[in-house]
Amino acid sequence: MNTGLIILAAEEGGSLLENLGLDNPLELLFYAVNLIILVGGLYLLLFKPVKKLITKRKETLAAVYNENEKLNKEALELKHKYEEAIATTCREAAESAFGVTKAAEGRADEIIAAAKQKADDIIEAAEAEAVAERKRLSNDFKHQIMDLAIEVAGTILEREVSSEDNDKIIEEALGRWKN
Amino acid sequence: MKAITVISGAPLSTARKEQIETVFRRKHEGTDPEFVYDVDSGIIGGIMIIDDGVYYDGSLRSQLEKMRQRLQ
Repeated sequence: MNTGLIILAAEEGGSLLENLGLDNPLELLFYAVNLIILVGGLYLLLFKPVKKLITKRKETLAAVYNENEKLNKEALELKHKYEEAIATTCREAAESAFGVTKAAEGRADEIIAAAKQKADDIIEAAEAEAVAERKRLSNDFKHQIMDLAIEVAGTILEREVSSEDNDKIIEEALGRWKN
Repeated sequence: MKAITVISGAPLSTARKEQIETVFRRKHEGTDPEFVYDVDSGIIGGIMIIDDGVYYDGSLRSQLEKMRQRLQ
């Protein structure tokens, strides 16, 4: 632009300063200094605070991200711990249930064995009773037969014993009682 | 006076009665027991004598009973 101005000034035949509207070279300096002051002021009042703010924001964000990372890690660890605890609890519960089942099975076996023994005892007692009953009935039957035989013998004797036989019996008895 | 009971299956003849009385009077020497005669067909045959609580059992019934006991 400067070059363009210079050329323009050369072409126009006037001085650069005149073309810029400046009467005095000191004014250029003045404007330059102004510019420097402005830029400096902008830097100090705007650029630097903004940069500071941005940096602070960046730090805050970094801290947040770090915190987040840390929390995620902790959460993951906790999750693993809980999963492990659940697995352990499940395993222990299963073992306990298995143990209880085994104990129950054992107890059931005991109960069954006891019931079987009792049943065997009952059967044995019943068999013995049946044998005794059979024997008793057999004896009863024998006695009944004997009683019947004796009764029949008595009836026959009653009918068949003659007076001579009777006399003989009385003689024998008296012979025994004489002594 | 003592009484001796004589039970028979059929009525006894006089001679038989005398025979019985002779035997039992010998057991009761010095006394004169009275003899009471009874007939009981249940004894079937023979005689049974009850002398002062002592039983002299010569009946057929008792012999059958003894046989029954032996068989048992």
